[in-house]
Formats: sequence, structure tokens, C-alpha cells
Amino acid sequence: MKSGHRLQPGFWAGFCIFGLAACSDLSQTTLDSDGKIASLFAWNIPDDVPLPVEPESNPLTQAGFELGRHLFYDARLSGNGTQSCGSCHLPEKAFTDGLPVGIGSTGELHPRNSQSLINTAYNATLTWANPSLRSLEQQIVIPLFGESPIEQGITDGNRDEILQRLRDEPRYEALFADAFPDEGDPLNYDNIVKGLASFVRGLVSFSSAFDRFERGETSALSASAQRGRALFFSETLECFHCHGGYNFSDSTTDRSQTFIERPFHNTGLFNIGGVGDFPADNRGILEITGDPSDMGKFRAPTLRNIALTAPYMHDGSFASLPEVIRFYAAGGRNITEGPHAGDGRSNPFKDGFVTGFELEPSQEQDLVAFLESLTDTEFLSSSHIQNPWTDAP
Amino acid sequence: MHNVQLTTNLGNARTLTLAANDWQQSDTGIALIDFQDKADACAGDTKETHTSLTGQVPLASGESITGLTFSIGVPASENHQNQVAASTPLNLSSLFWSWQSGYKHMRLDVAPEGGITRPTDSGFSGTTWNLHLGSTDCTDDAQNGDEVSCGRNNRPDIILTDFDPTQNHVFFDYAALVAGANLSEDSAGPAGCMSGLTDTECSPVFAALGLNLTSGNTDTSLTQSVFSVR
Repeated sequence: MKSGHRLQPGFWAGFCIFGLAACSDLSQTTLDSDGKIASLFAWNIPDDVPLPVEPESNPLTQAGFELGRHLFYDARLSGNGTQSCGSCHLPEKAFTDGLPVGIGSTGELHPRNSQSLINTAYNATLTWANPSLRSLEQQIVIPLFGESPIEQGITDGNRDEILQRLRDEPRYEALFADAFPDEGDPLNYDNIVKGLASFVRGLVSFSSAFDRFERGETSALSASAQRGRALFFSETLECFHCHGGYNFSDSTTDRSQTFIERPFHNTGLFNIGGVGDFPADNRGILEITGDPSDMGKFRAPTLRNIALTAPYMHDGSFASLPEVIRFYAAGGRNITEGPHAGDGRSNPFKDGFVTGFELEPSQEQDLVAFLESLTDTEFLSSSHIQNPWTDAP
Repeated sequence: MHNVQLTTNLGNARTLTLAANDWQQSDTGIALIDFQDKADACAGDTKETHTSLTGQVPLASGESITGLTFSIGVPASENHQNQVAASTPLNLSSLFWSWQSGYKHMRLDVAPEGGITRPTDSGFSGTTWNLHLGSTDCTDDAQNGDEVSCGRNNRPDIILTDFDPTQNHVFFDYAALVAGANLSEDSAGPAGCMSGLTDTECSPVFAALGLNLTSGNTDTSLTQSVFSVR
């Protein structure tokens, strides 16, 4: 690791000398010697939550966020003009789509479930299973240009036409100019990626009922949710080992951290043939590393807003939270017939914390009530993250 | 390809300085050889191809070229850059290998007559058998300012002898490349070889390129059969 991706105080000082107008956005934060709370963006998060890392090459600004919001919801940014990022990442579903797996602009099925985009700024790695994807700027190239599967479907053959579509949209001239004021012709793919990354990076939320409860508002959680909270953080259920911390994921990083962990886990969802195999199109980080012991290892996603993001798991295996809880209670999934037959409970690569537990039906309800308390309705319904094209004149 | 060198009768290996054009970068020594004119069933409009390298090499008096060496793919120093801001030919999105933060070192997609079937899956029906060669097991993220390194580089080194640029061509033999593969059948995963260690279609293709699939390095115990001098 290099320290280069962390904010340097000198960088910000230099930025302000040449861009005094932008510094007015600093009203909520002040520059300190560590750069830990320096930002041009109004993050609106509690004081006890550290700020996420911003790349030096793309510091988050309000103008970048606003440009990204327009691009995110713009179907013209797909090869055939039919699909935007927002087609698979809907705000009312915490930026998921309600489908087992995503569907690309040409109808191709993605092997994996569309993930929530809330708090991805804190992800130590991005997507379900890729240890080297650590910046949104690197990750976003994949849905834009990827061919296996095709998502947005931008190709060498249509990329110029797509840029022209954006040039023809009157709103973009000012949006790009505001986000990249020092560039003569800022409408290009580099800045499209930076804009999209800015919008997604700014989707940060810590105002669920659970958060209010933790801040002392005892009435924010029902008695059932409070019992579920105790179960969730118990050594009996072990949930918090992978879904712990302020973002309910052990794959979390921020500006306060020196050592960054990037864990992945096999939860015993499959054990094809009894040798630990997962289906050929979904083998976890083994696909990246080639290490046989990485079979079936995926990143633990945040549980924030989890009640809105069904179906669950990397392939949409489970339709509801009770199904997921029963899966973990069983310590894995036993598939008794068909091409995927095998007892996942004895997958040789299974994580040591997925050992199973027993729950009374009322306890299962309590646990679901707790998970439902992680939904941040206030943030997900706020106007500044919604589709800006629906109110077009 | 990159690191193009001409070996000479005096025992020198002299670097070919590429002429700069849309397909070649003189500063990095990277060139894209492109045979795809899209005049066939490939999607998209017909396009130019680039089937020869142009450049300069200094020779001493009495020195003559006797051989050619090059490495396939994009060198590590250029493989993990910001692709959407890269200069030609590294701006071609069809050669992005973004899931490993790099580029495809070689891409050869063909549409076999009769299509592709999968013995284990009667519902599978493919049209294209793909070879995507790229570095795998890569760590860190260049967009974060990290220096990316890959466990398997998968950049074959090609050494050709008895080469006289005034008389000879370099011959690329696709048939030899896939001689050990069955183009009408796929076992699992993406149809063809996408450089994965567990991708069963990769084993014969890597061997034909002289590449060790496990290490990702050129293996001197294997003899590449794809490139020859004619």
C-alpha cells in the first residue's frame, strides 16, 4: 500500500488558493493537520463516524455529485439508449433492483445480484468479489464498457455517438463546466466516470432508527428490535464478525484507518460434488486470484437498508430475510438434487463463524425487526439523490 | 505487443523505435496488431486493420538483422492506467480488461460454424469462442495511486530466428493456436479461454503460446507454435 491515496493537507491548501469560491463549501468542516475531516463536500454524517477516503484525483464536490446524479439516471449513457445505472440501482430499493440478478441493456443476465450503493464510499473493495477493485473510478469502467456480461454496452463503435447524445443535452454543458471548471472541454469519458463515482461516493447514510437508538433515542427501536439487536451482536449468532462495525461489513475502510482489511467469506451456499465447488459462473474471488482455497468467497455486504434489498446473497438465492436467517442457522445450505447438489454445510472452504445456531420463531422475528431498523427511509426519500430527469420541463 | 527487439549478426539485441501513429506508441514501444476488419459477421461497421509494424533501428556498419523478439500484451508499467483517459491504441474499450484493472494482451474471438454447445448443459447455446489473454491475480488499484502487480502476467515472450525484414514476414497461425482446443464445445464459464487458471479451455491455448498456465510466465520447456518466420 502507498499512502498516496490519502488526503494530504498540502493538497487541500493548494486547492483553496486557486479556487477560493469552492472553499465556501467547507462550512461544515474545518481543515485539520491530518486532513481527516477536510472535504469540499457536505457529507452530513454524525461526528462519531469517520469520513470515507476521497481519491486525490477526484475529490468529492457538490458539483461533481450533481453531475454524477444526472449521468447516473441517464439512459443515453447506454449503447442502445435503453438503460441507465439507475435502472438496476433504484433509490426506493436502497439502489438495488429487486431481481435475483441484474439485467443488462441488451437483455443479458448478470451472474450476480445488483448491490446496494449506499455507503460504498466505505467499502474496502467493490462489487461482490474482487480484491483489487478499490476505487469507484476503477469499478465504474466495468458496467460502462464490460462485455462479459454487457451492462451499459458502451463500445468502440458507439462511444462517440454517446458523447454526442450528452453534448446535445442542454443541461450537461453547465454540469460538466461546474464540476471541472479548469478544463476547456470537460465532456469526456474520464470525467463521466469521475462524475458517476462522485454521485455514488456521496450516497452515505447513517440516520436509520438503529442509528437514532445508538445516539440515545431509546424509543427509536421497538422492544422486539432491541431483543433482535442483542441477538445480532451475540457470540451465539456470530453475525457481527462479518457484518460488524458502523457499516455492518468487515470490508470497511475510512480515513482513520491505517491497516485496511479486505476479507472475503465462503458461507456454505454451495458444495457441488462435495469438493467445495460453486457454480462455474460464480466462484467468488477464486476467479480473480486463481487460489483454489478462494472458492466461493464473497465480500460481506453492508446490512444497512437490508430489508429493502431482497432477494439476497450474491446470486439472489433467498427471497426473504427469514430465509437468510434460517440459512445461517443451518450453518449452510444442503442442496439434495440437481446439477448443484452438495451439502454446503460441509464446504471445506466455509468460514469458521458460519457454524449454525438455534432460534425460536419469536427470536427470528426479533432479528428481522432489528434488521428492518437499519433502513434509512429519510435518506432514501430525500430529493437530492432522486432522478433529476423526471422533473424536466 | 511491446519490447520489440531485432537481433543481429553481431550478437546485438536492438530495440525497434516504433513510428508514432494511431496503432503504435513510440514512447512506450507498444503496438496493436489488428486483423479485425469487421467485413464479416462481426458486429459494427467495417474498420481499418493494422498488420505491420513500422519503426527504426540503428545498425552498425556490416551489421544485419537476423532475428526478432517481442512480448505479447501491454507491459506492466502501462497496463494499469486510467483507461478512460488513455491515449490510442490503449483507449480501445474492446481491449479493456477492467476486472483485473488492465488490458487484454491478446483478443481473438471467432464464430465457429454450428455454434458452441456445452455437454453438461443442454440449454447452453453459444456463438462465439473467445480467447482473451490478460494478466490475472492482480492486486491493488491504480486509480487509488497504488502500484498494481499481478500474480500471473500472461505476456508470452516470442523469439524468432532466421528473420530478414527485407525478405520475410512474421506468420501468425490461428490454427496452431487452437489446435488442441475444441471450438464447438465449452465445459463451463465463458465460452473459450479467458485466462483463468481453472478455465479448462485455456490449457492447450497457453501451451501453444509457450506460456505456463500456472505461473503465467513463458516456459522454456514449451515451444510456442503460433508465430513463425516465412
